[in-house]
Order: sequence, then C-alpha cells, then structure tokens
Amino acid sequence: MAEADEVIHQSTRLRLMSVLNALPDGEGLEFKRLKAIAQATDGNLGAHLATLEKAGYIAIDKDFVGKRPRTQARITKPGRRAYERHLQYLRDIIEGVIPEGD
Amino acid sequence: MMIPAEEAASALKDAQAAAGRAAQARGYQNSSGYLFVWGAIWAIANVAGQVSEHAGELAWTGLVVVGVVVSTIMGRRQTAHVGAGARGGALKAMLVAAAIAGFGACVQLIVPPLSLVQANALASLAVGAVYIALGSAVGPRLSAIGAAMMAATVIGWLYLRDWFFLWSAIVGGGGLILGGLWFRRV
Repeated sequence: MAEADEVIHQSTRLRLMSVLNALPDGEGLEFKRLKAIAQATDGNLGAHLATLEKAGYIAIDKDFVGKRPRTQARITKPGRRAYERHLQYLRDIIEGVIPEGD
Repeated sequence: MMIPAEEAASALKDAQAAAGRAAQARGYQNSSGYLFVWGAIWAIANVAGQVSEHAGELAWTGLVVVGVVVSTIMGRRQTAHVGAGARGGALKAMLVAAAIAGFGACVQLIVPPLSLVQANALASLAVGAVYIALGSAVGPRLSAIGAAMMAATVIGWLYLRDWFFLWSAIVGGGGLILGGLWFRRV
C-alpha cells in the first residue's frame, strides 16, 4: 500500500516535484524558471529545494553557460519513485482504498 | 500523517496542474528554435521575392531545403535527449510537413497556375491554420501566432498587395522570430 511522504506533501514542494518530474531523466531547470512554472509564491524556495535535496529527491547542479553561472534543480530516481508513491497514496485516499486520515 | 480526502483531491489537482504547466513550458522551449529558423527563412525569402519573382523562387527553393535539414537536426537532438516520446512527435511533425506539401500540390492542380504572391499568401494561410491546430497540443501561444499570421496575410493581401513580400518578411518573418522569443518566456 502506498504511503504518505511528509517531505513531498507540503504544497510548494509538491508543485516543485510535479514540475521536475515532468522533465526527462537528467534534465534540470534553473531556479527562476522552476519558481515561475511551479507558481511558487513562497519566499523560501531555497529552503524547500534544500529539504528536497537533503531527502535525496532532487539534485542541485551548478555550472557555467559562457561566463554566466547557472544553478539547476533536477529530480533523482529515488525522487521520482517517492513522488509516484505519494501521488498513488493521494489517489488511494480519494478512491477510498485507504481510509481517510490514516 | 492524516490527510482528509478533500485535501488529497486538492493536492492531486495542484500536482497535475503544475505537471501540465511544466509540459507546456517544455513544448514551448522545444518549439522556439523552429520559429527562429523559419522566421529567418520567411524574412529572407520574402525580401528576395520583393526584389524579383525569380529571386524569390530561387530563395524559397534553397531556403526550404536548408530549413528542413536544420529542423531535422534540431529534432534529432531533442529526440536523443528525451527518448521514445519525442520520436512520435518527430513523426507527427513530418506528417504535418507532408500534409502542407500535399495541400500545396493539390491547390496547384485544382486552380489555374498561381503567381508567386498568390502561392505565398496561400502558404502563409495554410501554415497559420496548421499553427492554430497544433496549438491545441503545444499550447495556446502557438494558436495565437497562427491566428496573427493569418490576419497579417489577409491584411497584406487586401491593402498592401504591391508590397506583399516585404510585408510578409517584416510581419511574418519578424512575427515568427518574436514568437520564438515569446516561447522562451515562462
């Protein structure tokens, strides 16, 4: 049975994970673009990304495009699995497979 | 962790909406390069057409080949990056291109021989209509570009026939390039 994931369930982090999960393996998004697509109005974007990174769900890559530094976030394989598990858990609650509140 | 069904439904809806926005932004990003390439071709070939019909025909013939080659390379790069899903997309793009070419061939069969300006206007309308249709899959911005292209073509045909090629170069080619920039904005 699927389980809730407290790291992912927070609304901003759920949106961040949803956006990153929609990208192909190995592809990342710059913070500014990620924030805009996720519609993350929360000022603590960096803290949420750090929480996801600490859980091993995302990786933060830093490189240079020409002389400009670039920081991108991308989802990891454990992150994809955790995200799918959490979404399944939400579906199970809605379909009554898991009793509400469990 | 206790999650009521109502909260679960809201979270799931939120997640699906965010994933949809991500897929759409990615579609725009992938399409923007094609708009730059074809916008430049549109502008150059139409400027040539304004100089003389012969120059226009030569420019279109050569530049369409260049455009197809560059688009194929761009499509392969995207395919190599994302895998099987995009291969289906490349096949669809080729079908769309074949449909436009087939439409052009059929028009030449049915109506009397077209002048370059008539062929140009019809091609612009056909491409605009295709963009409107593709917008339902890629996103509404592509439909908006298609509609603007069709409107600009009709305006040019009605009011600027003598300068139609130059009008097409600036409004059509420039519009496609601006559309490519618009696609790069989130």
